[in-house]
Parts: sequence; C-alpha cells; structure tokens
Amino acid sequence: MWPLGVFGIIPRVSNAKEPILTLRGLSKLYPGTVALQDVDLEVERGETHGIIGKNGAGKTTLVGIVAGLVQPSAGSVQINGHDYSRLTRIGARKAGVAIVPQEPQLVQQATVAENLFLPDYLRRGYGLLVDWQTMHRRANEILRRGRLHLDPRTRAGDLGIGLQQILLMLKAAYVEQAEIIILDEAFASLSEREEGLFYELIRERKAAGCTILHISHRIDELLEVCDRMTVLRDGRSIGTVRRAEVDKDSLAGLIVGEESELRPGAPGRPGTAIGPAAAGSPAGGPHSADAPVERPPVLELRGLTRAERFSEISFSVAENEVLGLAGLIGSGRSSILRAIFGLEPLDAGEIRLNGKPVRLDRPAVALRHGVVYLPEERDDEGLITTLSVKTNLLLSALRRVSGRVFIDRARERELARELAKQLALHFASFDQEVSELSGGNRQKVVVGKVLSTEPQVFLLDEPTKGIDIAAKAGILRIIREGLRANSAVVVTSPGLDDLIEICDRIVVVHDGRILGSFQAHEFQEERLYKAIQGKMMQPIR
Amino acid sequence: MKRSTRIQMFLIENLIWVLVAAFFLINAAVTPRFASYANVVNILYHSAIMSMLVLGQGLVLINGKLDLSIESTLGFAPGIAMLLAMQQFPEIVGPVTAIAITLIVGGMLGWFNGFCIAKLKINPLLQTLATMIMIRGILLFIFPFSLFPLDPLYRYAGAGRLPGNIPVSIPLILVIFFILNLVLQYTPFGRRFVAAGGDARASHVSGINVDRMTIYAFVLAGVLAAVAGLLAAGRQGSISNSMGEGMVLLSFAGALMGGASLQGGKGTPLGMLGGALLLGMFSNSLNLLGVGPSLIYASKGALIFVALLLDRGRIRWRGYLLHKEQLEALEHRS
Repeated sequence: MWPLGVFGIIPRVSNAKEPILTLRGLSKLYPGTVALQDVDLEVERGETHGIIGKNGAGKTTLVGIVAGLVQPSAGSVQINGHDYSRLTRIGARKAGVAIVPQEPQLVQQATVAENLFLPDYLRRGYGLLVDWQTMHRRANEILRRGRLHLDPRTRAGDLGIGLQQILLMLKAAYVEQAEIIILDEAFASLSEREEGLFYELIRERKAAGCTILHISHRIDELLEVCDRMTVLRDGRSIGTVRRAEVDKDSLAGLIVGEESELRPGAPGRPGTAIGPAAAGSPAGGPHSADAPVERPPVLELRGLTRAERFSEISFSVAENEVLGLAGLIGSGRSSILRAIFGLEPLDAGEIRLNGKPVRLDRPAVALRHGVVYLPEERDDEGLITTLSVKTNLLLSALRRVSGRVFIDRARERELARELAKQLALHFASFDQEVSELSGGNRQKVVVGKVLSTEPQVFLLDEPTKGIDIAAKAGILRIIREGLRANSAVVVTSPGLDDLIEICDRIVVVHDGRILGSFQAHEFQEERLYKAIQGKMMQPIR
Repeated sequence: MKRSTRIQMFLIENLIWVLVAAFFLINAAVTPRFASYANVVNILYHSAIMSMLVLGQGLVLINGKLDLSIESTLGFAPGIAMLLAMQQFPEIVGPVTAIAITLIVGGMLGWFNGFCIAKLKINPLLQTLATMIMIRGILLFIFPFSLFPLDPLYRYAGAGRLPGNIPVSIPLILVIFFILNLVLQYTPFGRRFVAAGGDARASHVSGINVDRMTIYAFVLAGVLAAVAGLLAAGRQGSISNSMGEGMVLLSFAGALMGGASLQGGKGTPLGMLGGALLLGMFSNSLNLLGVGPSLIYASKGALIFVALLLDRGRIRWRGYLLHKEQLEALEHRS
C-alpha cells in the first residue's frame, strides 16, 4: 500500500528565514582520532559563512560531510529542509552543494570545456552525441564572466593550480549553479591576481543569493568576505560569531583558545609575561638559561632556493637544539625540509653539515650523512604498510642489525623492543602488519624508524599530524627528550602550540621566505599566529 | 591476542600449505596410486620446471611488477647456448660454458626488461610483452627445427638421477627455493627488496635504491627462467622453438596462490613453492583420474579462479579477526 504521505509532499518553497543548511550533532571518528565531535551548525540562506580553526580542528572533515565526500559517524545533515542520513557526493550535488577543494580536482587530461561540464556534457542528436560547438561556446561565455582569457580547448593539466581553482569556482557558480558553494582553503595556492579574480567571483555569487561556506586560515580574508564565522577547536564547535562582533585580535584569541593565556605557564617554562629579562633566569625547564647557544651549528643552510616554492632560506641548527618551522600550508615549510633531504631539487643555495658543504641529492645520500626525514604523509612515504612493525622500525637502520650477510635477528628484536619501549608503542606483536595499527601508533612507528638511524640531524615534517592527544603528547615528549639529546632537530607542525611546547627557537616562513625568528622567551601563540599570516610585529632579525 | 585467533592467523598466513596438505590427503584417499613414493617424486619432478617460473614471477610480483617474457626466455636462453655450443663454436663452448651462457643470457634479458622499466619508466606489462614476442620471434627464426642430441653434461640438471632414482632437478630447485627464501627474509638486501615492492615511495624516502631493486627482480626472474629452460631442455633432450609457450599464465597462478599479490610487497619463496606444487599435484591427480589434457588445462583455469576467491576470503577473514580483536580491546578498556 502506498503511504498516503507520498501524495501529501508539496515541494518546499524556499523560505528566506529558514536556514539552508543545518547540521546536528555531527561526529566523525577515524581510527585513532576524533576529527569532529558533536558539532551543530546553522547556515542562513545567502550568507557567507566562515569556518575557522587551527590545522586539525576538523574544518575539512566538516565541509567534507556537507559535500558528501565524508560519511559522518553520527549526526544529521539537513539541506533546504531535506534530511540526508547518507549523503553521497552525487546526492550532495543534486542538493545543490558544490565544493572547491584545497587541491584542485580537475581531470588533467581533459580540456577546460570538458572539465567545466563534466559529468553532464551538452548533447545533441537525441542525446547520443556530444555537442562540442555549444559546449565550447558556453565555456567561452563562462570564462569571460570569470574574466579569464583562455581557450576552452586548453588541457586542464597545462594550467597553473590557481587557474584550475578558479575554473572549479566558475563551474560551481555557472554550470552547476550550486546554491551552496564550499571553499576549502581555496586561496592557499593563488597568486595575487588570481586572488582578486576569486574575490570578485565570491562577491558576485553573494549578490546572486548564493550561500558560501568559506574555510580559511587567514583571518584577514575571512573578515573581508564573511557575514558570520564558526570557530572550531579540536573537533568541537566553539561558537558562531557575527562579523561585526569581532576584530582580528579577538578572532585570533577564539581560534587559539582561552587557555593560550595560561599556556606560557606550562610546566618547566618561563612564562611569557615575565618578559625577556626572565629568559636568563635559571628556571630549569627546557628553555632554560643556556638557551641562546653559541655551539657550532650541525646543520647550516645558506640561501636555499627552489623556484616557486621558497627562496633565500638561511638558518642553522646546533646539537641539542629544536628549531620549529612555522608557516601556513603552502608557505614552503615542508618543501624546505624535503629539499634538504633530497626529495625535491634545489635551484640554489648551500647545505653545510658540521661546517662542510654537502650535496644531498637523494634520501639514501642524506641518510648516509646522518640526516633523516620524517615525512608528513605517514602512510604514503613513511611506512611500508604491508610489512611488519619490526621490519618497518628498522628499515632505515639495517646496517645496525646485520652481520656480514645475514640480519642478526636477536639484535634486531632487541633493538625493536628498545624502540617500542622508548615510544610506548602498543601492538599485539612485532610481526603484526603496520596497516593494522591505529593512527597514533603508526606515527610512533615512523618516529621509531627515524630514531633508529641515530642521525645527527632530524627533519620532522608534521610529526603530530592526525593523531589523538595522548599519542601527540607522547611524541612531543620523545622529540623534546629523546631526539634532542645527541642531535639537531628541525620540526614543523600543524599547530603552533606544539611548536611552542617543544622548540628552542621558531622560524616563521611565509610565502617561501623567512619572516623572522623567535626565541623561546618570545613565544606567544597569538603573536606567532599573526606572524605566520605574514604580519610581523617587529623588524626582521 | 587470543590463542584461537593466533592459530587462525597462522593458518591464514600459511593458507597455501594448508591447501597443499588438504589436497594431498584428499587425493591420497580418492585417487589410486597417488600417495606412492614414485608418484610423489613424479609430482616434484614435473613441477620443477614450472616452479622456477613461478618463483621468478613471484619475485617480480613481490617487486610490484609482472613479467610476461619469462616463458620466451625459457626457450631462448638454452637455445642460444646450444646454438653456440653445437653449431657456431663447438670447440670453444663446452657443456659447462653452455650452462653459464644459458644463465647469463637469461640474466641479460631480465636486465634489459628491468632497465627499461626502472629507468625509462616503461609500463612492465607492455615492456615484457614486447620482449616476450621479440625473443620468441628470434627463437623461431634461428630454430626452424629442433636441435638434438644435447650434451649429457648439459642435460644432467634436467635428466640426471641421483641414487634412489631421485631426479637431480628436485634437490636443485629445493635448494634454490631455500636460498632465496633465506635471502629475502634474513638479509638486508631481502628486506629492502620486499620493502621496495610494498611501497616504492616510502622505500625511496627510507633510503632504498628502488630502481636497483626493480632491476634485480627482473634479472632474477630472467635467470630463474633460464634455469627452467635448462631443466626443460635436459628433460626432453632437445631444444625446440615452442619451449615454454603458454606457461607464463600458469606462473601467475602459482605465484598468486603462493601468497603474492599484484600490489607487491607480499609473498615468500616458500609460499611460491607451495603454489607450484599445488599446480603440479592438481594436473597429476587429474592425469591419474584419466582426464584429458584439454580439460586439465580448463581445470587449471578454474583453479586460478578459486585461488583468487580464496585470496579475497583470506583478506576478509583476517580483517574480521582483527576487527573482533579491536572491539574486545575497546570493551576491556571501558
């Protein structure tokens, strides 16, 4: 029997008062991490809503759920009054949601016109043939509206990332005519001119009544375009504020969190409030009196340059020193580490180890020189997930456990056990496949792997990415206490608080250049947060 | 981990030997004369040639690639060696030199494949397809006829018998399997080799020369194919231009049943041995049951399919066990 209700459904008339998007109790769990926890959000029709928070706060997960890219573990999504319990990408598209992701996702082999209309090519001849003529004509119109002078027959792969990003925005606006457009850090890789074009498009869409969800790290950017902003912190929603209610400083405070004022008082740390004068006092903690070291540097960089990524990077690190590289995504912080390790080519500059210039043009050479790198992409570059915990732990240090021909299995086991103990690693057995471990434990295996090589320089690229708080604390402690002991450490992190906790010095990178450096007594999260946005409060040292 | 889980995990890891044992026991009960000493030797003897191809293919699969050309190498390597020994330079090339040439030719063909794939970045399937057709063509050109009789010393590995009427090829292949198993599991080289196959990017970051590992894999496959050729030529006492034709597909079957995966990084030589034996036992038992050769071929195809299903099942079973473990651990904590 037909439920009578079927006939009772009347197409809902868009109601300006009613929120276009309502999220209730959204949670998302990943193995070993809680990405989102019980988040509620209401977005009004036609508003530009900013989602803001530090790295790992859950922003991308949140909008991923709205776009149908991520399935929530709990909670509901309501778009235009319809409930979606299982929202797929196709479903979200039908509901009028478009997303411009951080990394542009165009079919690189296809042309601009094809990418604009994918997957719904314009057809002719009873829908059997692709109507290229009309498609190219309409593509041309659309490109003109975006003020792009492009041939629609250009292959997408031949365009720069910024242009690809703008194409996706144009597609969302004029082809899909989406009601909700999600911008997931869409600005991260744009040039200034492209940014201008993009802003233009956002304004135009706003005027056309579109709802825009805008994720960004950059406070200025958000304040310029957003009507309201929701702040996320550690996967929870801190609250929603109107544009008029906040300024740059109060917003930075919200993002970083209230406890930031208490932070400097964390155990063993001379408080920032005490000021530089106190830095010399025998406070005892990690950043104690002998912090401004005059030891010879282990690793020294002179004018390291890679076109389009970073230029004129110079700094040095001494033994027993932890140096933090702080910067936004795309600032070049990862590229610098990868270039030192020989994973990316260098165009100019010199790397010195213990005063001697060296050429580290591939990882094997770098490792031989005692330089080791912990990759940001844990599963892609850090681990051989099909192999056992033990094999992974010692993969880069086979020389240490092998005799003339064979691996000394007793020594191997002993060393692996030692590392596991040091890392507080939890697993069922050494012979377990790494793919079966939780995120935090996998990260510990990667840390163990770089630790096992006993290098003189550690390059750690986001060692705390995507792991839960307990695991994170463990890893930070290992870096602070274990790695620093006999080596120099350079570390990047998605969160400033991590760097503040473990570093002796923080170098701020913006747009591929060094903006300045902070000694331990100058660490203040808000100040650093502004600095990585490209705004130094003091002359460059 | 609970004891029962541990036992199940062990069985999953060694599924191929469980199958070999089960197949053997069932056949011993059903098929007449199957479990006799003579027949067991016979199975091993007839599996020897294929097992070398399975091992070669398995090593390439562990490296995350595949090699179609080994079946042509099987004919080409002994073909060139015997051509030199019997027609071109009979006074210089003796049987021992001929054996060396056989292995070197196999290794060189493998190196050619490996170089093109690792350094020129040619797709392995297409590269080895080209080599396979190319050298089969050359073989047909230089051997429009069969070449015999071969030198008895050259034939020794394939046709010789040890006391107790054991064919020389059986201990030979067992030693090869054993050595490679040791090398892969217990030497730094082996660790790097397997790691490079499991994840090339991560291995590069770990300081492993991934390209070199790929070249080694193909060289080993080429040499093992040449060994297979040596055994085949010795057994039939002649060189024909069709040697090895059609064997490469079954080499995949053996390697996959032995625990290799097309994604790379999986499998051990001893597993491959199990895979090769299962293939050998299968056709042997069907033979004894009086099934015709065409149907045996079809059944081998079915066996490959069953092996693939079992592999999926194995992954699911394993996933299920681990999931259960995790849930129990969570309950304990809360």
